[in-house]
Amino acid sequence: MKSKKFLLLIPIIIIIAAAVMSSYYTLDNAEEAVIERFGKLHRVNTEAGLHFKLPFVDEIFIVNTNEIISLQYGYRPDSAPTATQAATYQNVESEAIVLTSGSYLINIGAVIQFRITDPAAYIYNVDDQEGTIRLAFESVLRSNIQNQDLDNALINKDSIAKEIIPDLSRKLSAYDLGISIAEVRLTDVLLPEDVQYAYDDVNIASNEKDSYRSQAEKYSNEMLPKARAEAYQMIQQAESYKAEKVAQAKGDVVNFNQVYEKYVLSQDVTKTRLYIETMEKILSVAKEKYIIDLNGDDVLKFLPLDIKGGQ
Amino acid sequence: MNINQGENRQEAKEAFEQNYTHAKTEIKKNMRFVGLLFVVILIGILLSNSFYIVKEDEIATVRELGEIKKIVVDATNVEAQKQNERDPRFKDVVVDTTKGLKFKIPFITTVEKDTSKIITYISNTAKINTQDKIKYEINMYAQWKIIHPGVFRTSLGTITRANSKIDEITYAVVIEKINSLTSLQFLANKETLESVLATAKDELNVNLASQGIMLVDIDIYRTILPPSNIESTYKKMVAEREAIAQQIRSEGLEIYQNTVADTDRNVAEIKANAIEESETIRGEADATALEVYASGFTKDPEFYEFWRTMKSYEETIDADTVLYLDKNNSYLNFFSNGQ
Repeated sequence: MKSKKFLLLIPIIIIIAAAVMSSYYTLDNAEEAVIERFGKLHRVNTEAGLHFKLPFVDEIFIVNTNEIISLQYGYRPDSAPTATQAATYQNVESEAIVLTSGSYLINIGAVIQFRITDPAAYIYNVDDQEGTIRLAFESVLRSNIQNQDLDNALINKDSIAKEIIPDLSRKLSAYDLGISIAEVRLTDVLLPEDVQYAYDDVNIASNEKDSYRSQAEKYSNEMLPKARAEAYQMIQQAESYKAEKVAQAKGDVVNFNQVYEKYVLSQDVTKTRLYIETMEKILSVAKEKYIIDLNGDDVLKFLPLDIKGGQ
Repeated sequence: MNINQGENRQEAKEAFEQNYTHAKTEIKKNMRFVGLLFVVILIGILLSNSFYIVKEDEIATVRELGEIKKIVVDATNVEAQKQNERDPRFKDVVVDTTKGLKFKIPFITTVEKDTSKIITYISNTAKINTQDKIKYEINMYAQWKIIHPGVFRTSLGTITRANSKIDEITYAVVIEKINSLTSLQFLANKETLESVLATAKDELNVNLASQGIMLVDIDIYRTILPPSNIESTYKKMVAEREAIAQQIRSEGLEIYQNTVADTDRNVAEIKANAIEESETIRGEADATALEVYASGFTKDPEFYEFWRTMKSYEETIDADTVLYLDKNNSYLNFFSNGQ
């Protein structure tokens, strides 16, 4: 009989234990609890610590309001980075290829980070929270990139990301999702592989242009100073010619004047002396000299003055 | 064959009777238990049938013998009441905007529940043409919710059918709106597209109100070129860049040639100036020299001629000059004539 009573006690003990077990819950500092009483939203508890609830009647949904949740666009993380290995990613081609203004194509990788700020709204208002955020993000992201021309999109990814946040916040507040966007980042804005080489070639061409410019500068840097130096030399030569020429003239005049002073004193004697001195000088210089008779018969007679000269 | 047959039969009969009475009391006992259990279950069923719970993310249609008497909706819902006023068949339906535990008449009242959450509809890829005949492929999504569960239950019934309905009408309206936009407006002007889609949403909501649902938002989440145009777009991009690269290269060559030509011209100018200047200087030198000579020699031109000729002889005759002197030369006067 005792054992029978004991057997009856078991379910009662189980029920009591279950009631006790489901009559409390704990929250850490970052967690908030949405409390449903008979299915109806009772209240949201934001205080950390131990709390009591009505067993079987209250249902608790605990949400971390500090956690930053990331959603990737254009790629998905395959494995997280470890101490020995970098993170690996999987590209999602259909998402990544985006149009820009003027119907150009560009490859995009983006990430949105958000926090749940209103747990009740997050739980109750939308059927598929992440899916909905993804769709809204894709829509706003793509339309903002479509509004940019290609070169802008390639360069200004930070300013595009900043423009996305208000548009996306507006859209998500219409769905009353209860989240706040912490950050939107464009991780990659790249040209499609098929056209990358043509864009690289533009850079190469720019480098070539710079090199042409440098070569031209080198040429002018070489030629202009050289020409200036030559010009300077020519002028200096002319100047020295001038100095010489004038000095020569002045010297000649001085020389003449000196001779002339003597000449004035005794004209014939000086003239004769000068003549003879000159003849003497030139005849002593010239190695071959002949005395001839032009007035005689037809026979030319000559007298070599110097034996050596005839040889 | 069996010698003990009679005895056995007697024993069997006794055993049977004993079993029978025992079983009778057992059945009686069990019957009482089953009856009790039955009553308990009945009470349980009755009790559980006399209340219902509408959860925070649910809305409900409450019928009494099939007739919709009450709907339970979100506290913020104002559309349901308007719908009741619009449709005389629903004019007596009570709109209850509180959720949680509610009581009802067992078996007579039935409750059907639907979600109060925003539901996502995703479209197939649609091919569209803009006003200027540019082809794009778009994917749309819509966020919608049930605003009147009673009307929803009687018209569409399920979320799947509601999605089909949205698919049917949204597709056509959005495509028609985009047809009237230019590709520039459609692709590169988000404000225009946004206002066009907002208009489309309002138009569609007029239609969908009679089905008890409402679009919260419709949007195009992906616009891309048809696959056949992607390759040609890449080619276009490559060709454009090639043209730019060519231009840059030619500009480089132009800079080089222009700079070289400028330099050459500057060099020539510098040389020309130098020639001019140096020749001027030389001219001045010659002029100055002539002036000096002239002023110095005008005293006695005849003597100057003699003196200058003598100097000239000295200058012009050198060791290699061959001299032929006539014996009558005045220098040789004494040599030839001896007096």
